[in-house]
Amino acid sequence: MKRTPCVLIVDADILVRHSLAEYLRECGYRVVQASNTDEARTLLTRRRGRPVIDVVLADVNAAGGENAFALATWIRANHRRVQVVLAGTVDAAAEKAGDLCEEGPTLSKPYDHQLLLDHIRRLLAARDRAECEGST
Amino acid sequence: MAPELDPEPERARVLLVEDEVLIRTPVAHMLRGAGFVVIEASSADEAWSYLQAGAPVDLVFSDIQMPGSMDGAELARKVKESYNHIVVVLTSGKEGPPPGDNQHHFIRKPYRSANVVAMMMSLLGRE
Repeated sequence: MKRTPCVLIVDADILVRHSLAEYLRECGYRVVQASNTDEARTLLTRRRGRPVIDVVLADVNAAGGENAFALATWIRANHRRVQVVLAGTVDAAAEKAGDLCEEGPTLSKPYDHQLLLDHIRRLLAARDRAECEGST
Repeated sequence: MAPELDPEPERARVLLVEDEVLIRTPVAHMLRGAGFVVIEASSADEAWSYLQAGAPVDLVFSDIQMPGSMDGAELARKVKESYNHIVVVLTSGKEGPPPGDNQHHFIRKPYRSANVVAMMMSLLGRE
């Protein structure tokens, strides 16, 4: 049986975090939440029993010991299977985020829920396709 | 005529307040598995801001020792003062008697999942 993909939401705003999480759960995803980048790193440093995270959806303004761009860089270097989506309101930040992540991974806030869902689906499908092609 | 069925009760909403993400995440998962809607707050301040936004909550389940401008005991006091209909359950791993004036329910860490769920169901009248 295929594992339910897991999305990690990183956002300091509890209202944003909760509403996004509930929406993604309704769409069939498992969701874990971090209120800052430190918590995100802790959750990503997987040990036995913790969920395998497939997508990180982080606010560019997320608080923590490092900013969201540094977190994205660290994820790309250490967790190659994890797809990163950075979201924010600042155009320049979004552009910078685009350099760090997969093709077209940035979204603007407020989130369009359907757009977000399509985006996550596309990212996971592209990853699975790439892995499939790589194994043949 | 078909008999009327009781409508399914709305899922109870638990505001879980815990600053340690490796505790908060599995506890939230366990509570969701038991049928609750769980809102995760990483501090008492964050939980308070959520309540003040007017979001509906049936029960606050909070750790006592937390960083920030208030701890779980202070959050519990403020919840009782402003939102008396909300049930408050405090938890702590600290030795000694439960803190506070016994106004709030208390469960000591480490706790068993089944005990927490049973306590919440009972307090919310959903046994």
